[in-house]
Amino acid sequence: MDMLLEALASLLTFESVITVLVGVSAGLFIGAMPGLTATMALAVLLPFTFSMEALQGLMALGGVYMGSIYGGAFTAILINTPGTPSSIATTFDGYPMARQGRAYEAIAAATIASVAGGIVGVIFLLVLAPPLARWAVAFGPSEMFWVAMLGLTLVASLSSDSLLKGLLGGCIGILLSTIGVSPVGGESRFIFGYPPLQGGIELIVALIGLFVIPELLTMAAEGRGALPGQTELRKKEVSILSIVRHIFGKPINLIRSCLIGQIIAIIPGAGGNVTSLVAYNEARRFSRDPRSFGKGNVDGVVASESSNNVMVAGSMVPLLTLGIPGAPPDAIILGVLLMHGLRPGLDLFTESGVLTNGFILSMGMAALLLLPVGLLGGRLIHRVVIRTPYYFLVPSIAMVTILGTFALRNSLLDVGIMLILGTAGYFLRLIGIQPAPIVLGLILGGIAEEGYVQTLMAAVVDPIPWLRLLHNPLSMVLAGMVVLGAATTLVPLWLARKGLLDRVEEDDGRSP
Amino acid sequence: MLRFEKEAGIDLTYIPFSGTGPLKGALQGGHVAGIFNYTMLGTEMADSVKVLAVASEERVKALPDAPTFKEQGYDIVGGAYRGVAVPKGTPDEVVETLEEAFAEANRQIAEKQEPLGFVMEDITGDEVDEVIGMLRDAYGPILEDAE
Repeated sequence: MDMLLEALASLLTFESVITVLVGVSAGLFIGAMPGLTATMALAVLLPFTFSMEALQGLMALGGVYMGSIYGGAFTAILINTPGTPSSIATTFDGYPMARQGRAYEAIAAATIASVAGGIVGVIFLLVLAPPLARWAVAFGPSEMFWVAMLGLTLVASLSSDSLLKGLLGGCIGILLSTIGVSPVGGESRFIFGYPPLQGGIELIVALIGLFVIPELLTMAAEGRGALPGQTELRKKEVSILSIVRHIFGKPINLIRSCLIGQIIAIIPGAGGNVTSLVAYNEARRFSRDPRSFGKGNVDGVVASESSNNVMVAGSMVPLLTLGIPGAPPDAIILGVLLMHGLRPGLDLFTESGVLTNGFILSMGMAALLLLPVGLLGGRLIHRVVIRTPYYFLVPSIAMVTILGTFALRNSLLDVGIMLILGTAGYFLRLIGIQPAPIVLGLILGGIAEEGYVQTLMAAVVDPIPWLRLLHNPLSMVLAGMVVLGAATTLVPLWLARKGLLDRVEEDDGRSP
Repeated sequence: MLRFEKEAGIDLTYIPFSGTGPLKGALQGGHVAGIFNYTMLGTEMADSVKVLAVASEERVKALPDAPTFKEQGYDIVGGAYRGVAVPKGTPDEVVETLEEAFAEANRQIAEKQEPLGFVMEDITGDEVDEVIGMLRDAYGPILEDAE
């Protein structure tokens, strides 16, 4: 407790607040650019912290991390383009809201949810880090396989109009994930005799291509901006207070999303993109009105953004206690810790407790600072997007996406892949196949494959190798959740088709 | 690992991982029985794992309690080697200047990395050919078997 107070004292100086503020703002800006992820924001800004003291440097990077994860929500809401992969789920409801002239409401909800999520994550980290750490290592290859499968059941709920088209999208995504060098074994697959394809299709490249390019083409084809004009906007603007009341009035959605965020964050290898998707899916499943999701339900934005900001501090649990990065950006934080001579482990909480607690608390402060920075910045960016005519907006976004894609690996091939996927995505969208299931398949395909192959390789001596997938209680529980998740979507559909359940009746029963 | 199987005359189940990062969790969570990795992971995980053997000529300073493979009767010495090459016909002075510069850089890096458990060796001149020859003898038969 002394250490906590001491850490708090060192945090409440003018210098510290400015450090975190600058970090948050810088992170927010980078996170809002499509193609520049949280990992990249940390990597780019890392050298600036070399000259700082250990605590100050960590504080700045904590701010950057928090800011960049949140920054992705802006573009997700305003131009249907997740700025970072963790904001994919934010587009589902955020963009429809913006189209209805409720952009600012969505941004405000995202901000408040992010602040709440960030703080919850910090509290979890402060209080529960050591016991939670034991969870992290319980997830081995077979468990990861089931986590990926659980994520894939999401496809069903993402494809509200046609399950078949959703599944088709998911399959396309999984197929895309198999391009390149295989995660286990290292064979080159589906490179069609073209060696540069060995690098595979980078998630961010596909993300930018599939989300941005179709949107830009649509904008250009219809000759409209991303959002309706200002007059329509004013009419529907909601006060921040009422949004706060909406979110905290029925806190179940927030609490559930935070818990999901925390649980998934400590699983190494599943990052913010998986957390927000799962949280979104669960918010939808438990909602009284699941049909309104995907059409501009503010709860969808809240679920996605709160859970991905819980992840920021949440993924530090395995990092600080075991030295295992819970999400890709954490690998950079790990590097910084080692650089300052801090070895992850329980010592970090005792011997260098002041430093560690200071770092954790600074993330809480960063979350708090999101509120003013986000609400002000949100209004500004929002105005820019609305006021800019589409014939300026479309080319500038196109330019930024191409730059962002190139900057990722300095690869023109990536730009080509991005444009090809984008064009394909436009036509797929015309026939009703949405980008979300494709991206989902791409993210989870690799995780599932690695888990499956590693499990089966470990089981070569077993009489029935695939039973190894269910070899302990945790994997059985996860498998059960997958079956349950698939059943809750498939059974009503099947009943409806058989005519056993009248759809109209079901609707009446569910509406409040 | 294949060398160890051969030297020890045992059969192991090989599970490839995508890098050093996930290995820590796999070992601590009991998903694998043991791992082959760099010596620095031994110092990093000193609290939670036991290093059974190191594949260097002599014991590693940062891991004084870990015996070498050789001490235990297995002839396995190896690691990750990084090399610098120049085009054929590069003047000798240029080669010498480069060698000196790299040697100095290696010395400075080694100073920082050895306490972290890295084994740093600076191999120059004819020693390079020796190491390449040693590696060829060690891995050649394994690769031939694989074909």
